[in-house]
Amino acid sequence: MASSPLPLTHEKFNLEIIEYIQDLGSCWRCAMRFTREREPEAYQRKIVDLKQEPEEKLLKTSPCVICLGLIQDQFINECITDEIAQHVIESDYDSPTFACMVSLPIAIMLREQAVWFLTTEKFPKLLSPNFTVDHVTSLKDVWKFVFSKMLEFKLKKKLAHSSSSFQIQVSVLYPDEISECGALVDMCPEKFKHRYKQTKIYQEGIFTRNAAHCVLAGMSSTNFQKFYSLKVPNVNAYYGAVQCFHTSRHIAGRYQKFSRKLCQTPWLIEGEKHMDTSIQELICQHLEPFFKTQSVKFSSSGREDVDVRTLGLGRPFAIELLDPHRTLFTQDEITQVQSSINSSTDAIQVRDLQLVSKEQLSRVKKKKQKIYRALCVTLDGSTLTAEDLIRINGITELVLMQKTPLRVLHRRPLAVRPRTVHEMKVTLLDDHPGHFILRLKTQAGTYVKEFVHGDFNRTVPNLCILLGRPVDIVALDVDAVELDWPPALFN
Amino acid sequence: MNIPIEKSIPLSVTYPSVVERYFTQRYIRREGDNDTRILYHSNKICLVTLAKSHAIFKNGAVIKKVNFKVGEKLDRTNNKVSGKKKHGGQRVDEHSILCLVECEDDSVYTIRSGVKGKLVEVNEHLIENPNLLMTKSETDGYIAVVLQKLGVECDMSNSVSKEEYDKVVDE
Repeated sequence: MASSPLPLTHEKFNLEIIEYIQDLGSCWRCAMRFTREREPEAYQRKIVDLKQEPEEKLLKTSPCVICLGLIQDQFINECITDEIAQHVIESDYDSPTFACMVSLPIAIMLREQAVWFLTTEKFPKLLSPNFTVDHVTSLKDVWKFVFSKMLEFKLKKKLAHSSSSFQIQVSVLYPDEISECGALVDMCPEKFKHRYKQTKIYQEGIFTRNAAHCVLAGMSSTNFQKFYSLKVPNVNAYYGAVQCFHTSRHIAGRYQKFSRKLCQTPWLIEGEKHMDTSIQELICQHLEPFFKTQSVKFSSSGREDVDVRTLGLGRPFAIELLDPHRTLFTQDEITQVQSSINSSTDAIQVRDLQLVSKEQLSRVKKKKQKIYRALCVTLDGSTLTAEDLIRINGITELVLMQKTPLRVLHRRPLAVRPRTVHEMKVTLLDDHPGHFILRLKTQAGTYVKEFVHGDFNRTVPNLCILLGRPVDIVALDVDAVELDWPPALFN
Repeated sequence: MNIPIEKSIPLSVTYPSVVERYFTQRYIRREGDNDTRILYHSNKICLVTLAKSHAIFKNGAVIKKVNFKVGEKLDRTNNKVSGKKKHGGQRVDEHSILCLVECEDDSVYTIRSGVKGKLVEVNEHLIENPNLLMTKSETDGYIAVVLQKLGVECDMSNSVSKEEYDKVVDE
């Protein structure tokens, strides 16, 4: 054997251990795990040549007392890798690598513990502070040693243990799981007392790996054996569902909005859609099929009202693609998706669409200044004088005390928030008496409509106060969201 | 698609007002022309104001004080709300008194909520400038903001619509 850290005449001692554990009813691979053998090659051999064994003998063999047949030559079904691979291939993920996770029955933990106690009683020399049951080469690792080569070949993907974003989860089930785990309840009734009632939390069953670990940790051999004795299993373990998952990818861009009848996100009233579509839907309906994802999360640097346009370079946004099946693509392909979004609608246009890293995402939520253009009108029909214009255009860094606007008061706490209008510029609209255009540069979070009409004098000062007459807002555009993220692309 | 803002919407001489854009106007006629108006926002926020038919406008009264201390221990200006759900807001119903309008001629008008919910704020500008009630009764001179219970259809059966009200009042 390649490397054995045991401090004795290793080979011979190891063989004794293996022989003993096999006599307990274990398969040779599980027995070898107790020698801390960690070389994959050591487990990849096949000792029993299945073709030469007479069929009855095969049938008579019982499943291994530890792995329940999982890595036991007589029970390894050559088709299993085919079945797993087929499921993965059908799921159609393009990741070149994969990580594989095997979830094992808790009964195997109990069985391994039992064998550990029996073996260390037989070979007290095994016991040392630096060798506990946790140092036994794990069944999960050995499962991968045995199956990964075949899986890699069939999936045409490389096994990358923890570095792959693509995970295949294989669950192993065992028909006698619940009855064998009953011993855990006998060992530590308090641990499970509440779990029977909390059916929601423990809908997958009350026996979790953590709980089993808690119960078994620090338990003495005598105590353990009072409640549990190792028995040859009646049935072998089998494979349950195979689940695939790819970690999220994130893309970002900017959108312009030209419609005054379009929400940013679906507007739901009691679960029913209030408007036909939304910016989120217009964008995501093109992303979902491209990235082959079932769901996405849309976020942006603030949001405009349904009747407000967003012009200029547009508003930065980011989209989390959950469980994307497609992860290999070029910027050119993303730009093509952008083009198909843009040609599908007149209501919005998207630019700078690109892949971004998760770390960059917080930037989309950074507070930033906005530049607005508001079309306003005096309610008495009067036209602003040259003096009015000079006075208003000279105002800078004006601090408003803004009470939560009435129109959002139902979903935001009542507060008075100081907000700064950095600059203001008024130009008259010729041919339309009383009409004027107000350009504003404001701090993030300023409600501009309320600054203009005053919201029942709840925003002070407001434009009515500044002009000494009632004014109202007729239309509003966002001209710029001052955030230099995501990077501009030239396409 | 970059249409200038002034071309992006039809321009006219008059536009719907803030009140007309955001609120449904309902009127409650009471004995002694103690009439009030309630502005219902679709988000369940309501504003209580005087109605133009209120006695105060007819009698040529001069307002001395808007008194929010409506009971021995109940002062509407002590109202404090916290959080999205406006925890701690005083509960009011149709008949709850929001304030007492005291006039120079010693007449006192009792202004009632007319709507059930949590008091969110009273208009504190009225304390320094009670005359707002006269000059801007329909806008800046509002009396209070009440939040109705969310998720429950509001009961407006105690009030009449603006159309009905205008018909009766203008006669």
